[in-house]
Amino acid sequence: MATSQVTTATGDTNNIPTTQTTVSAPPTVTPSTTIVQLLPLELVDKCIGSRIHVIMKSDKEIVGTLLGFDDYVNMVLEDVTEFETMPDGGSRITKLDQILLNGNHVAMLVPGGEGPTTSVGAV
Amino acid sequence: MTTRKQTPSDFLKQIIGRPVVVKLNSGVDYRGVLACLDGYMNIALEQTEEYSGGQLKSKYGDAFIRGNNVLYISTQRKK
Amino acid sequence: MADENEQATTTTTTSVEEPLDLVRLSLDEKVCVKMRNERELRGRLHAFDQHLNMVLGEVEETITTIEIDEETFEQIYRPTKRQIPMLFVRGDGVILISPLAKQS
Repeated sequence: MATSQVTTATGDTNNIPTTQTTVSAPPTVTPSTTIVQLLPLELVDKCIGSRIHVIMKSDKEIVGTLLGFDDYVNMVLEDVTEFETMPDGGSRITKLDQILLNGNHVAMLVPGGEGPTTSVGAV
Repeated sequence: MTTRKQTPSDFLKQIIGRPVVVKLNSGVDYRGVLACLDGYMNIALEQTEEYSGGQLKSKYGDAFIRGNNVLYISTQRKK
Repeated sequence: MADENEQATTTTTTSVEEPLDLVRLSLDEKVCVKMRNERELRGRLHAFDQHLNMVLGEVEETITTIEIDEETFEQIYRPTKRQIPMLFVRGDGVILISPLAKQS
């Protein structure tokens, strides 16, 4: 019930609701809850100092110790291993000391991950 | 964990003037001395060498790299 | 940001304090521009803006196509060149800009 009210209030603004009278105020969903959910960046913050597995939008994965990050999820990583799949189907592993990873190309983060070696065998 | 937090801007201040590897999304690497960079991750490199597939492809005295192509900036690999 | 730019231009015009200064120093010089899609441009840099949109004059464009030999499966790099007197370049295609004078 509550959800249908929300959709009519936001979605069909042209149609004046006939039965529901005043829906002028912005829909405040469950006002009783104080912040229960963990914000996405709070999860990333909890990963600082521990190993993290980064899956890029391309066929590339990076594992390292997270030293810090910013609002764009640009990340500073240490003791990094980079896993690439090459055009010929092979894979390539690069070890790096410290990197600043551009957040633009990040698809997913896996806290505590140890990279694709554990899950994916050599192709 | 006793690791102190090191934000991206801390990292960048620390590595200016040092030899770095800049990797692009295309897989091409640029190795050179980091002259400076800005908030878009636009990068100015000195004594730049371009590597593709691990092979040296060309050299540039100075090079400007547009930030949108940058995958990561790394301090050079531990030997 | 704007303050920094002003400082850079008023105090010294030769120092590189931000990456775009390197491009600024290349104005009216011959530059090499690496573009996406295996394109490379060499020409005189007449103008640029913060997006790296550029106006280049006396340009030689080199397009490298990679063909695979059907029998030997060898990769064949085939450069195609053409001359363009004046060219506008949209910045989003740019990968790298390097002043040609200093290039070894």
